[in-house]
Amino acid sequence: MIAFHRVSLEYPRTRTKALYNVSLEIKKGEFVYVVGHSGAGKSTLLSLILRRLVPTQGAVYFAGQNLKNLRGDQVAYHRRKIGMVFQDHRLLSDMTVEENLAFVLQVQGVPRKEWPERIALALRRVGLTHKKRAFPEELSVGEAQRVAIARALLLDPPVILADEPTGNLDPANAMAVLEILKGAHSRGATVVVATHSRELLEAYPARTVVLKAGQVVRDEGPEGGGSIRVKERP
Amino acid sequence: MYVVREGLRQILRHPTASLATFFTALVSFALLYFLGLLLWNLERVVDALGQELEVAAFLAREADVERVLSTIQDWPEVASVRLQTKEEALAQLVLDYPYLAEAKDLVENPLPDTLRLKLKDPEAVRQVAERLRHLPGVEGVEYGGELTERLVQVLAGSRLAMGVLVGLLLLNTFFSVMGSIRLSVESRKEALGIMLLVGATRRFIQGPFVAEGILLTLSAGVLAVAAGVGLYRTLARAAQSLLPFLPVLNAQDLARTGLLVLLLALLLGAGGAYMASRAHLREE
Repeated sequence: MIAFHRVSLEYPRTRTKALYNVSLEIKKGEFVYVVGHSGAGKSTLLSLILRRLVPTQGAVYFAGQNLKNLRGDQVAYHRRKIGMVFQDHRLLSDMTVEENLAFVLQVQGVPRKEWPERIALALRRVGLTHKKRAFPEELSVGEAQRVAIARALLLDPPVILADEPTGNLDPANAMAVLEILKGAHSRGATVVVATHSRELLEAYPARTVVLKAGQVVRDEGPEGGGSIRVKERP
Repeated sequence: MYVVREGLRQILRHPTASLATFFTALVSFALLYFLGLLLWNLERVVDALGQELEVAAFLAREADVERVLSTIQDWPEVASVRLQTKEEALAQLVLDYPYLAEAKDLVENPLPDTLRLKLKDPEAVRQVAERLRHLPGVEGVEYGGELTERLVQVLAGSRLAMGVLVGLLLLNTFFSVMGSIRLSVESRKEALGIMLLVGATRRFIQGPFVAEGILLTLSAGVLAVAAGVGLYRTLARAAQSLLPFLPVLNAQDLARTGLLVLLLALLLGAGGAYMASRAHLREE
C-alpha cells in the first residue's frame, strides 16, 4: 500500500536532514505505530505519505504510484484517499462541528443529499452526535480531537494518518481516540499513527517503526518480533 | 454557483479593500472608455477632413505630364491623382469668381497644369508635399490641410498620453485586485490549509478568488460603460447642435467599445485574482 524506498529528505532552508535512507513497506490493512523522540522524523514521514513533501532522494510509493510524479490536481485526488489527524485538531473556528464536516464533503464534491447521513454516521462513530451544533471553542480538547477524527473518517478513506493524535489528551481521552482508530482499522483501513505515547502501544500492540535522527532503527511486529537494526548514519 | 456565492462573501469580508478596488477599477475603466470614445471620434473627424484634403502640384510648362503622373501614381500614400489642365483650372476659377469671365479673354491663361492628389492617410500630407516639391517638372505645391495636420498631431499626442495614462491606471487596477485578493487569502488561510489537506482541487480553491476579482472589476466596468455612454451622448448631442456636420459615433460603435472594456475588466479581474491566489497557495 505504502512503500518508502531509500528515502532521504533534507529541508533546503536549514539544510537539516529529517530522514535518511528510509526503506519501509506498509501493507494494506496494517496498523503501524511510528515512534521516536521529537525531531526523529515522524511528522516528516507522514507528510511524505500525504505528499506535502517530496523526498530529496529515493521514492515514496502509494498504491504503486511514485508520489513524486503527481502533478497539480493529482495531489488533491491522492489526498482524498487519506484521512489526516493532527495533534492540534485544526477545526475551523467559525464553523460548527456539523459545518466542519460538511466543509470536507463540499471540498470533495460529495452530493449535498448525502451529507446528513454521512455526518450523522461519522459523529456516531466518535460519540459526539449531541455536539453537532457546537463550535470548536465549546468543545473539550478530547472532543475536538474526536471531531477531527470524525472528519478524517468521514469518507472512509483507505488510509488514516494520525500525527500525535493523543499528544494533548488525558489518558481517558487518549484511549477513546485509540478506540476510534481501532474501529477504522477493523473496518479495513490502513492506519499509521505517529506517537511517543507508550500507553497507546501497550493498549493496542501493533507493528512499531522506531525512528531516531531520521533513520529507522527498529521495525518490529505486534509481539516484538521481526526487529531490524539499521547501521548508523555516517 | 459555489464560486460566485463564496466570491461575494469574500467581498463582504473586507468591504474597505473591496470598495477601494472597485473605485480604482471604476475610474480606470471610465477614463479608458470615455477617452477612447473621444479619440475615436476625433479620428472620425480627421478621416472626414482627410477625405476632403487635396494636395495640388503645379506643373512647369515644359513638364512631362505623363511621366510625373505615372510616378505619383506609384506612391503608396496616394489614393488617387488626376490632372487638371490649365483650361479646366481657368474654367473652375471663372465658375468660382464670375467677374473674371471677361478678363480671361484679355490675357493669356496664366494658370499652370495641376495634379490634384487625394491621400490614403492625411498624416502623410507633409511628407508627400515634400517629395512632390523635389519632383522634376513640379514648380510648386499647395495643400490646404493645416487644420487636418494639426488635428492629426493632436490625435497622435493624445493617443500617446492616453496610452500612458490608461496603462498606468490599468496597472493600478491590476495590483489593486491582487491586493484585495491577497487580503481574502489571508483571511481564509486556516480554511485554505484544511482544503489543501483534505484534497481540494486548485480550481475549487481558486474559483472563489477569481470570482471575487471578476465581480469587482466587471461591476466597475459595467458602471463605467453606462456612465461613459451617458456622458458621450450628452456631449455628442451638444456638439452636433453647434456643428451638425460633425461625425459622431453611433449606438453600435458605443456597444462595441463597451464590450471591449468589459472584456478587459474580466481579464484584469480574473488575471489579477488568479495570480494573487496562486502565489499564496503554495504549501509551506
